[in-house]
Amino acid sequence: MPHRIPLRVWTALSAALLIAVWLILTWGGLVRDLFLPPPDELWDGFVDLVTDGYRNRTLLEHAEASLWRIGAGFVTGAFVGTLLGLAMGYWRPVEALFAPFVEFLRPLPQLAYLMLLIIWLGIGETSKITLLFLAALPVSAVAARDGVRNVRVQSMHVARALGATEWQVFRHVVLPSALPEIFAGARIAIGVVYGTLIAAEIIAGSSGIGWMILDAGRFLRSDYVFVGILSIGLMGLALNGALVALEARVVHWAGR
Amino acid sequence: MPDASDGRRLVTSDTFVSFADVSVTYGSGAGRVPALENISLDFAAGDFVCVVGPSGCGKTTLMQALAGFLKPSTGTVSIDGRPVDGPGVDRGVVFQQPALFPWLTVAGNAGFGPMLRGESRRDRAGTVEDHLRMVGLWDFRDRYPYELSGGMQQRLAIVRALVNKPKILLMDEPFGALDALTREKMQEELHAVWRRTGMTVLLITHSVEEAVYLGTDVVVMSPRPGRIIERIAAPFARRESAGCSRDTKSLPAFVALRERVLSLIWQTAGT
Repeated sequence: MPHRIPLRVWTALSAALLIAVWLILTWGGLVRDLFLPPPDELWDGFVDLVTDGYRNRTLLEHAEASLWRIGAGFVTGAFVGTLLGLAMGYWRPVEALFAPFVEFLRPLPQLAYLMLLIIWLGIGETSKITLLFLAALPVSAVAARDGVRNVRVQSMHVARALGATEWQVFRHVVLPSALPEIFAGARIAIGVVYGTLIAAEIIAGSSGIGWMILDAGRFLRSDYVFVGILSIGLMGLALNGALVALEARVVHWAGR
Repeated sequence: MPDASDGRRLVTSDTFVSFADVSVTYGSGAGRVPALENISLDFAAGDFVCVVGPSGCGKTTLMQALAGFLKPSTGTVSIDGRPVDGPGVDRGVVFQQPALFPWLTVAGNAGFGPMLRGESRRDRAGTVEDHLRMVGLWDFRDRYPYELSGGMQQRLAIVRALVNKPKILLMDEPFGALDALTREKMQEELHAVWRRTGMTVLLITHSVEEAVYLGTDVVVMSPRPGRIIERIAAPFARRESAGCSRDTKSLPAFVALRERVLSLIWQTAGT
């Protein structure tokens, strides 16, 4: 099929259509403001949140709180998980030691053990960051382990024939070979962490975008809810975009 | 076959590589598969030994035993009088798939061996440049492997082995994945490298023509279990003029030897 119309135009069209429907529904008086706030009200809500804030914190401060938790949980979880996964992929005994825990933890819904963490660690930052750490760890570990397992034997043979020691084989062949999968794992992990965070903030907290949405919802402030949803969505896009850009730079050979 | 015009060939009678009664068995119990049975094969420094035979004849196993990637079940493989015990820098390997390191540039791949020994980029630059120039890859030194054609990738794989100055080059179907024309060009280049360096080469190949053309010795193997059925001296690798490869390959003597090797393989496949 010839692409006479650039793909970007299609994307713009779908966005324009959505906005048009929104305008017709709201300004046309077809739905009540409570269900779907019109653009001007949404804008007012946004300005309100940015300047005055919600419950003593501005939108930026709520976003900062959320981002900080994501950053701390994701970085520690992905780092430890990747190290663990590399070891599991390379040394069978390590795999045998940790596989049961990792495999059990991975499909477990994070909210299932959130309550336990709250009992153990309280409702402060520690329980939330631990939750995110535990969400990121198994995903990263499994990705790194599979990355190591998929290293081509011939590449390792070549390196050994060129004089590589066991450590050099790991450092110069296994680790770089596994990088594309480590990055793929990191992207999945950040998705899991992101989803978990919002849920965690809803259940316990007094700051963060997730909490703001829930709290505003209780008072039927749908303008704030929408601003919150848009903020979360855009932050997620930005995080993913940053990771994709980093990935393209670091593992430029992947898929070629 | 000593060549008086070539000083390196004077030690031709000495055994350099030796397979002494080597057997290799994969698996255990009822699933035991004998891959090599009682292989005895000696060759001298500077020989270009080509191993041919049908699939399953154990030619790759033979190479892997010499490379040190697997341990023979019985018998010993030795090189320069020392038994092989694991891979080593004296043996460079090249596989059918180039197995390049895609995260390194062309120059990075070529200098991988010296890098492992802790040579700085500057120390290894000279050797790397000489070798890359030799195979016409110098202009591509900052490119990545995935930006190269199949033939160029395999040249780089060979260079990566050569930079380490191995005593012997072990190649398993190195040109098997290349198109016919590229394959002939690569044969010429490999032949030129061998003539210039006097290096010992063990080449595993499916192509009888390639074996007869490049080898000083052609070893014919039979399958299940892998055995050597004949070793034939081939005169074409050390011919005087290096003329066009098709001229050599259409000589009556060349055709006769090629057919003889082919019929040997046919016989083994039939039994």
